[in-house]
Amino acid sequence: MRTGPGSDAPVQEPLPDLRRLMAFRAHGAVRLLLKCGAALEDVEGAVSAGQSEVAVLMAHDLVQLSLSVRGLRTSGELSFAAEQASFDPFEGVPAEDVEEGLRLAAAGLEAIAADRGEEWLERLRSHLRVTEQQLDYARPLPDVRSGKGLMKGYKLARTWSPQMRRLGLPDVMPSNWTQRND
Amino acid sequence: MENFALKPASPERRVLEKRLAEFLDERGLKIDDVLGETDQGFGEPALAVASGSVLAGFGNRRSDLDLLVIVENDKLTRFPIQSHEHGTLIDVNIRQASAVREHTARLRDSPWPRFESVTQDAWNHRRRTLKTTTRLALGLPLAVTEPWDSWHAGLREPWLAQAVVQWWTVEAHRLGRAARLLQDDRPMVAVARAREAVVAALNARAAAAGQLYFTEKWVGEKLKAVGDHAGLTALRSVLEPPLPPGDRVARCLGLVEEFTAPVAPLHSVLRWATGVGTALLDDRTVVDRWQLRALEVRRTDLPAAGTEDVLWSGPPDADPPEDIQRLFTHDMLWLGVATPDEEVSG
Repeated sequence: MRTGPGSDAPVQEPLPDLRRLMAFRAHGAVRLLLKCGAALEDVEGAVSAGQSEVAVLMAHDLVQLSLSVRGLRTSGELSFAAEQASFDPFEGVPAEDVEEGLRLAAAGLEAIAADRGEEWLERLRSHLRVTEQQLDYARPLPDVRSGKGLMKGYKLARTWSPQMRRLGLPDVMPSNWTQRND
Repeated sequence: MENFALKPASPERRVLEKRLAEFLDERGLKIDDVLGETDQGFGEPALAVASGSVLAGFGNRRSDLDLLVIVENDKLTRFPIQSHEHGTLIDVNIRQASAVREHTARLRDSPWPRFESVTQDAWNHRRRTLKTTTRLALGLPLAVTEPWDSWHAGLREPWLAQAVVQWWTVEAHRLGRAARLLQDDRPMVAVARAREAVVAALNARAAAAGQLYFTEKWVGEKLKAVGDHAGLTALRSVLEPPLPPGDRVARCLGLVEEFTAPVAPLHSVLRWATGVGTALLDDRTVVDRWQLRALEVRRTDLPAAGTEDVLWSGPPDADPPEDIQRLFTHDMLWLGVATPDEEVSG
């Protein structure tokens, strides 16, 4: 709580915009558990196989996605499709966090070469943990790469979907789970 | 692009069988375990193909096996099916036969990219179709019925290699164009886009050398497989942190030119992005995305939201009018590139 100029009276933080709040909490969580989770798994697999370029390329993706979840709280864009060439994953993120994230992703080239891949991976996991803490849920998000976790994630998304519909926001359910096959 | 020299890319059956056998052995699985997954209750498989990074030769300990199953069933979604018995080791994708046939034929026969077909949906659809088609082409058929055997053999003709090289080449130019438009207002985003443009260009180069596996993240392994040391050096250079961004965008655009075959000039095409709404207020249009972000433009002649009208198009070296460019840098517009047509002046 802050105080106003020339006064000891507390200044209340303005209440958040409902749509922004829901986009951050729900879409941010789904982006983190689906996209960041998949990217982390890619990085882990590539590190174990010594595929350093694959690992670092996917680490850039991971860090950008992780930062974009944080930015959703204030001014980040809700849609982040790969084909959207103007998407800004750093919108709403402090410049120092962007710089730190880019250095972290790129550090993998040296770390893997020096057999410090696991240490680097732990720093990437920590990046995701900080993002998850900002979402502020009491329980950890499910790991959707396990069969049990996938069903938990699916249930979560199904629970949130009606709320998104009420606000005219896009569904949290990934479109490739609901669209016709091609 | 049609004259581009392509190396043959069809993997030999014995190589694919060996890769599959190694994957299964390491995980204590049998080929019958995989065959059992082809029946998911959606109908008899017309064609079942084991595919993915494992079969492409890039797999690692976190890789799963992709099983593509084509069935005659028109009520399917793309919801991923995980094997009940084998956890996350086998990803089963059931595909609708008529759609696969139709989309593959369009990939082979329809000219691309054209103004009318470079919408966001169509772009995304082409990407997915190429991914599925190359996986089918490069994978190991485990079950096949007539006439799908001859259809599958037709995927290994040069047209698919040309389509893959063309996709990555066009994508490299599109992402490079975006980087150029973003570099003054959003330098860090421009650098990220420029890196993606180089990755696309290197994927085109690897495909031209015979590495058709579509997924872009494997570009480093593709370049190693074809012994492309110059490509690998370029890839490693763009993975370094762009701090400060400096001339990184210009250097990346230079690499795109260096690593892609010459193409006919691709014109920029700007349309509304998904989720955009517009409201006319006297002398201005308020443009929003998902009603979460908004931008005012002092004009009232913009196309209505939700249409596929082109807001602006122009040749590679042209910039859109200032207000249209602002809409782009604030992520309200979708950028496509296409062979020239009647321009929209904005």
